[in-house]
Amino acid sequence: MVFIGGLGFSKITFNAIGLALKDAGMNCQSIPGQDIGIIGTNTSGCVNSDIDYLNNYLNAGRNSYQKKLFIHTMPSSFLSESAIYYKFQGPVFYMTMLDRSLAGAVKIASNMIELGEASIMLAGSSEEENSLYFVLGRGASFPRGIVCDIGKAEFIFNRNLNFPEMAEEFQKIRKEKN
Amino acid sequence: MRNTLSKLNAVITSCDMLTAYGLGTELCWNGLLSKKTAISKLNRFDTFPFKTDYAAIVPGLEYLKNDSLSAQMFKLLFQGKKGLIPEDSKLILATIKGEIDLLEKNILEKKDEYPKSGFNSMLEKLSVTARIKDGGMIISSACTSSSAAIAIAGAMIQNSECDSILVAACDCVSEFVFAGFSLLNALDKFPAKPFDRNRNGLTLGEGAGFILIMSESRAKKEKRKILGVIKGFGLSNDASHMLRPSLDGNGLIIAVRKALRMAEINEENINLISAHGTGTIYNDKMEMNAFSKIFENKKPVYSVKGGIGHTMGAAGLIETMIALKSLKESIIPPTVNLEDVDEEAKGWVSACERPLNGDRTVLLTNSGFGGTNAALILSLHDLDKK
Repeated sequence: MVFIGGLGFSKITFNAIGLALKDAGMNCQSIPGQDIGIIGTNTSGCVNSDIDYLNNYLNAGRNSYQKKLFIHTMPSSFLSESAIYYKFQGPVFYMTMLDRSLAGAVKIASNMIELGEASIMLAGSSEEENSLYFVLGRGASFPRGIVCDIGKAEFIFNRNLNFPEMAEEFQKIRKEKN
Repeated sequence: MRNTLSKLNAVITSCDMLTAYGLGTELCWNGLLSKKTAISKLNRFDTFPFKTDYAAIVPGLEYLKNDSLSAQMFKLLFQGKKGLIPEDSKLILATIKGEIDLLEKNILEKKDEYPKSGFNSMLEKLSVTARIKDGGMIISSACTSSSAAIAIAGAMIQNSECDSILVAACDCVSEFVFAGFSLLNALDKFPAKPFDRNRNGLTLGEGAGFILIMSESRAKKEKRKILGVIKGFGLSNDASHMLRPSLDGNGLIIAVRKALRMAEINEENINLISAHGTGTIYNDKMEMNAFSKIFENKKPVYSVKGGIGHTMGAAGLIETMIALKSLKESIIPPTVNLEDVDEEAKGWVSACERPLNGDRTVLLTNSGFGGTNAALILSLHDLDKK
């Protein structure tokens, strides 16, 4: 679990995932065939990419050569980019709920592990300037042990905290355990 | 009675669709059996800059009006269905571009304010149209969006988080989307011909659909007809390339193997495959590579995309309904527009309607940009098997 600051939507996700894996004591290198999935959310979908792409297309006289811009108008693209880099072969999808909470993403990630879709799932959120990802799996998967179980985590997600506050809550739990 | 359910315990009790053939599963089914494509010349916007002017459009929709194309489709779809969907159902909406035509309209009209999250406003509208209390969630994973949404619904039922879930899906053909797929060189100049030797790309289609997924116990308690059973699913990523699938098919194979394991069946129990079959050179080749590695014996394979185009985020949901219809009627639909079967697909895919024999269990596959793959295994309930 990690909170970082920076610019760029895909890049920030990529960095947050790498740091989250490191925080969980896992290898954050690109290793082929990793049985890991990602569920990501955010507050605004890809509306900024939509506007950029459309303006680019119209300004070029209803033409565009910016393939990458169009690909980034697909809500799951920023997650796929991370999956491709880290070679994650588990489920990868974007989700959003009306209450915009992380609890839904974490719950579905937990279901995916229960049903054998992946050994490890990353669930989190990516915004323009910050990103927070959690590493979920069965306890035995993590060399550094676990921070807390899903039930305790859900309690924190439902408290409507911002990312730094949420990260702090989990750090407190870790310190108490140690 | 033999227990037909997998560990998911999820059954489909209602469904409907809107495609370029019109409103209803029957129209789409009969259209496919007629071998006549619903793909036609597009006059919704100027197609001059693009490689093609073909698309599969839902008739009667109004473009760039106050209501988005998706909202119009959902209104048509849920019209006259009061009481069909329990209002305590959870709601999952699968889409890639949602109400993107509203953003187009705002930008073309040079309005300064853009909808900050079109997805949330779309969810709110859909819950009103479908008369559901739940605020709902959006699932998006490129062209596997709706098959992933069905999988997630199955997982939620299995986990006893709820016992009734409405999974709806839609995507529309707008200039935004059309220009994007054209830019990626994904479109065939002519109507798509999946698995054909001379295929050269996909044809975009628009459509919407819904399926109501319940726990078997609730379905029985409410005396609902069980249209199909979700036996298993598998989701995977190629982890290879953003724009094209991994040609060896290994990513899709992972998804299919997971689905078989969850359904607790072997490859030989599958006797029908509803393929993604987009008509692009890469996708169809990848799928045939995967199928020939998974199945020792050739299985009947079909694609609906020569008939209704590629309905993007709605594809898996619409294809689920056609697959269940195929099981129910014991007929394998023809692959519309197929003329000269590609070497790799010979003995698997056919331009003709075929009888479906044996224990009816269908494998449905979808794949999409970003390397995403989904596999669903569906069957009829024992009581509905003839």
